[in-house]
Amino acid sequence: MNLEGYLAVSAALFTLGIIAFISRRNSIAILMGVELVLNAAALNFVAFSRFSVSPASRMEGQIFAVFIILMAAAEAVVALAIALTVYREFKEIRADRLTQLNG
Amino acid sequence: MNYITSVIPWVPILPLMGAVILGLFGKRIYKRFGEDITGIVGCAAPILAAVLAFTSFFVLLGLDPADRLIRIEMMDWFSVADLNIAWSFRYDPLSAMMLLIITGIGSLIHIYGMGYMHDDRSFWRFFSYMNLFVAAMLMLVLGDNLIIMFLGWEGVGLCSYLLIGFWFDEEANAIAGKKAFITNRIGDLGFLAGIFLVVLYSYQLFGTVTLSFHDLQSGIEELSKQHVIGFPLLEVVGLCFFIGAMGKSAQIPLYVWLPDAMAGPTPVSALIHAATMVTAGVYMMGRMYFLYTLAPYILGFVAVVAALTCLISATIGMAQFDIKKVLAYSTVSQLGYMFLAMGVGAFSAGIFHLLTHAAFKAALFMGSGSVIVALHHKQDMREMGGLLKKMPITGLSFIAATMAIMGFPLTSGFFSKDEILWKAFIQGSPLLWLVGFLTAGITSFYMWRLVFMTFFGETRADKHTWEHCEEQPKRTVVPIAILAVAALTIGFLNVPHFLGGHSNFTGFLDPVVHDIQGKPMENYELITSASAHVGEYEDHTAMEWGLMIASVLWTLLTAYIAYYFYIKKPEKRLALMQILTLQWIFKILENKYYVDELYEAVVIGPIRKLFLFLGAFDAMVVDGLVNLAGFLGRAVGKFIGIFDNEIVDGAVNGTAWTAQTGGKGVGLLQSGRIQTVIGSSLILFLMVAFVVIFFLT
Amino acid sequence: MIELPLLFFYLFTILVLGVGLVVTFSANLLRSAFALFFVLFGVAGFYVLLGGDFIAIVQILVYAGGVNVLLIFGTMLTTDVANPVKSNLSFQGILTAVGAIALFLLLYGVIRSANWGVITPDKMEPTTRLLGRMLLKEYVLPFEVISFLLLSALIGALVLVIKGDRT
Repeated sequence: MNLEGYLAVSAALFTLGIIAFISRRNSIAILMGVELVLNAAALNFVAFSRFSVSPASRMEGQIFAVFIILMAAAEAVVALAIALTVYREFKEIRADRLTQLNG
Repeated sequence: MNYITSVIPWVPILPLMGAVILGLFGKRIYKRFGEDITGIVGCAAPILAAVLAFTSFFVLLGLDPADRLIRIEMMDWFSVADLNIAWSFRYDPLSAMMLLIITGIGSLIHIYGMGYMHDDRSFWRFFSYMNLFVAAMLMLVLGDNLIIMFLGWEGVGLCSYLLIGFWFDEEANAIAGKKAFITNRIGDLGFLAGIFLVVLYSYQLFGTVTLSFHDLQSGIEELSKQHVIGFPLLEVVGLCFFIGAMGKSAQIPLYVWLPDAMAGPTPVSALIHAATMVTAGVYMMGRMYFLYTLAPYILGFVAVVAALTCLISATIGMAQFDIKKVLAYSTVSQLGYMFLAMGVGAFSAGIFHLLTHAAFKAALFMGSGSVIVALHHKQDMREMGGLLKKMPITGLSFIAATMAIMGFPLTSGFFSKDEILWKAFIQGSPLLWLVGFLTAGITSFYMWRLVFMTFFGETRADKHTWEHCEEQPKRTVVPIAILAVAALTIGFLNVPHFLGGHSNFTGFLDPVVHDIQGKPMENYELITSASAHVGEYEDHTAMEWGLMIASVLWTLLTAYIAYYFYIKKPEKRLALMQILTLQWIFKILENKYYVDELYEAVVIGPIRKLFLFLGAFDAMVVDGLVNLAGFLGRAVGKFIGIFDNEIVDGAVNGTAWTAQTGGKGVGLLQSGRIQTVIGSSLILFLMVAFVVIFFLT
Repeated sequence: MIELPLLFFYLFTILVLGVGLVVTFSANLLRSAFALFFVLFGVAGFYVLLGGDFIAIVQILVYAGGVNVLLIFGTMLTTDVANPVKSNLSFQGILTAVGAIALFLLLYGVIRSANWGVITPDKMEPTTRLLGRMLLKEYVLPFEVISFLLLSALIGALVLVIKGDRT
C-alpha cells in the first residue's frame, strides 16, 4: 500500500476523533475522542517515516510515535483523575452540565 | 573577544533564572527570610548581569571599530525544511549600549523597588516579574534574527501587562493592563506581518529564509527591487514594522495605553514605561536602519506621525494634575522626538536621545515615586507643594533631571534634543523643526510646572500627611541621585562638531548604524541611480548656533512663564483662567482631546449599542460589553450563535429571533463549554481553509 | 492474486474505521470503551505493516494494556453501567457531523493533490536497537522531559484524588 492510503485512513480516524470530541456529552467519551485523534497523528508519523526520502529521518517518525503514546498515557492518567474527582464532587460527569468554569 | 562570546549569553539567562527562582520559591523565601533577603535575591540577577554587561562593554571598546560586531551562535532552535532559526545573539555597539541601559538602569530600579515595594504583600511576585522583564528585554535587544527579537518583543509585552495590572485587586488596574495588552496586539500584528513578508520574499529570491539581520542586510539590495501589489516591498515591510513600533512605543494612534499604564507600581513605570520597553520600537528601527534607508516614503510618514505625537501629547501634559500622568505624556512626547530623528534619517541622534531619555526619565519617575510614597500614595499635584524642604535629595535630583529634559545647556537632554532638532531642520523640513521647537518649549513649561507645584511654594497637603512626610530611605534615594548625575553628564558623550566635540557616540555606533546623509528622499535617489556622488559637505555652523540659541532661549522663556504663573504671581494665573476661551482649552487638554471618548463614540459605542439592541434579552451580554476585546469576541460569538440557533434550537420564537441570536452566541462562547469553543474553531478553520483553497490558489 | 500485505491493509482499515464508528457513535459508553480497544489493535497492525515492530508492541502494551484499561475503569466507576444513557450524542451532533465530513473531504483533497515526494520503501529491518540508540543520543532531552512529564502526571493524579478525599 502506498502512503496516500495510510494518510486517508489516518484522516478518517482523525475525523471520527473530532466528532467524538466535539459532540459527546460524557467527559470520558471526550477523552476517547482525544485518543482517536492522537492515534491518527501517530499513524501519520509512522507512515511518513516509512516512506520518507531522507534516510536520516526514517526513524524519527517512529520516535515521535513513541512520544505520542507516552504523552497519551500521561494525559489519560490526569484526565481520569480529574474525571473521578469531578464525579465525586458533582455526581455528574457530562461535560455540557459542568459549567463551573464559566468565564 | 572570547570573553564576550562566553559571557554575553549569561546576561539574559541570569535574570531569567532569577525570575524562575522567585516565581517558584519566592513566597517561601519571603515567609522564611523576610523582605530584605527576597529583595536581595531579586536584585542579584540584574546586578550580576550589569557587571557582565559593563565588563564586556569595555572589552568591546578595546577592539578595533571594524571588529565590533560579534555574533554568538549558541544552538539551533528549530529547522523546518528551508527555515532555520538559531538561538543566536548579536553583540555590537548598538546592543552593547542597550545592554548598559537595561542592566544598569534596571539594577538601580530594582534596588529602588526594594524601598518602594516595602510592605507589599506580593513583594516577591514583583521581583519575579521584573526579572522576567529584564530577561525578555535583553533577549529583544540581543537577538540576531527577527524571530528571537519577536520572542523578546512579546515577552516584554507580557511582563508589561502583568506589571501594569500588578495590583489587580482594583478593577481599574486590571482594565489598564488589558488595554495595554490589546493595543499592543494590534501593533504586534503589524510586526508579524512584516516578518511574514520578509520570509515570503526572501524565500522566493534566495531560496532560503533570511531572517537574521546579517543576511537581511546583505540581501537588501535584491529585496528593494521587489514589489507587493504594486508597492515597493521595503516600504510595505517598513510600514508593517513601524506599526509594531507604534504599539510598543506609544505613537499616534496607539498611544492611549501608555498613560493608563501608570496604574502599575512606579518602579515599573520607570523601567518599562520610560527607560526600556517603550523604546523598543526606536531600537528596532535603528537595528534595521538599512531597510529604512531604502524606504524613504515610510521615513517621511514616521517623521510626520512622530511630530504629531510629540506636539499633541506635550500639550496634553500641560493640563494634567496627576504627577505620573504628566510624566507619562512627557514620555510619549519624548518618544515622538526619537521617532522624529529616525524619520529624518538621523538614526544615531534618535538612539542617543533614547539613551539620555532613559536616564532622565527614569530619574523623574523614581523621584515622583518617592514623592508618592512620602505622601501616602497621593498622586494629585494639587495636594503637594513645598516638598523640597522635606525631601532635599529627591527634590534636587528631580530638578536636575528636569533641567536635562528641558534641554538646559550642557545637560544630556540639551545635546540629544538639539541634535534631533538640527537634523529635523536640515534633513527634514523647517516645519518638522518648528513642531519640535514648539514642543521643546511646552516640555519645559509643563516640567517646571510640575516641579513648582510639587517642590516649591506652600504645601497644600493636609496637616497629618505633611507632618508624616519625610525623605525616603537610602535604597530609594541613592539610585535617584545616581541617575540624576547621569542625566546631567552623559550628554558629553556626543558633543557635536560645531561645539568643538567629535560626535563620539555617533562614531561609536557607526559600524552598525549609518545615518542618512542628506534628505532621505535624495539619498534614496542617489542610491538607486547608482551614482557614487554624495553631496558636498556644507558649513552650517552659523545656522546650527542660531537654532541652538533660539531653542535654549525659548525653553528658558517657557520655564520662566511657569515660574511666573505658579510661584511669583499665582493670582495672575487664576485671573487668566477666568477667561472663558482659556478655560475651554484647558478643559479639552485636561480631557486629553477627548481621544478616549472619541474612540468610545466612534468605534466602541456604536458596536456596543448594536449589541445592546441585539442582546437585550440576555443579561450576560449587558454585563460584559466593556471594551474592544469584548467586541471582537462577540463578533465571533454572534456568528456562531446564528449557527447554533438555526440548527439546534429550531423552534425559535420568530419575533425574538434577531435579538436572541446575538445574545445567545455570546452566551455560548461564555458558557464555559469547552466543546463549543473547539467546535467553533473547527468551523472557522474549515471556512478559512476552503476560502484559501478555492479562491486563492 | 492479491498481495498479502495489501489484504491485511484493507482488513485493518475495515477494523479500525468500523470499530472507530462504534467508539464515536455508540450510546453505551462501555461499548465505546471496548471498541476503542480494537481500534488500538488495528493501529498496531498498521504499525506492523509499516515496519515499526517496536512501536506496535508499545502500542499494544501501553496503549491497549494501560491507557485503555484505565479508560474502562473510569467508565465503570462513573457511569451507571446497568442502565446506559440512551442518547450520548450532545445537541451539536448534526452540525458536527457536517463539519467533520467537510474536514475529511478537505484532508482527503489535500492528501490526493499534494506531491509527497516519497520513495518506494526497501525491506524492513528491526527497529528496536536503532530506536534505543536514538532515544539515548539525539533525543535524550525530550526523552527525559517526557519521563518527567509522566512522573508529574502520576503525582498530580494522586494529589487530585487525595484532595478529593479530604473534602
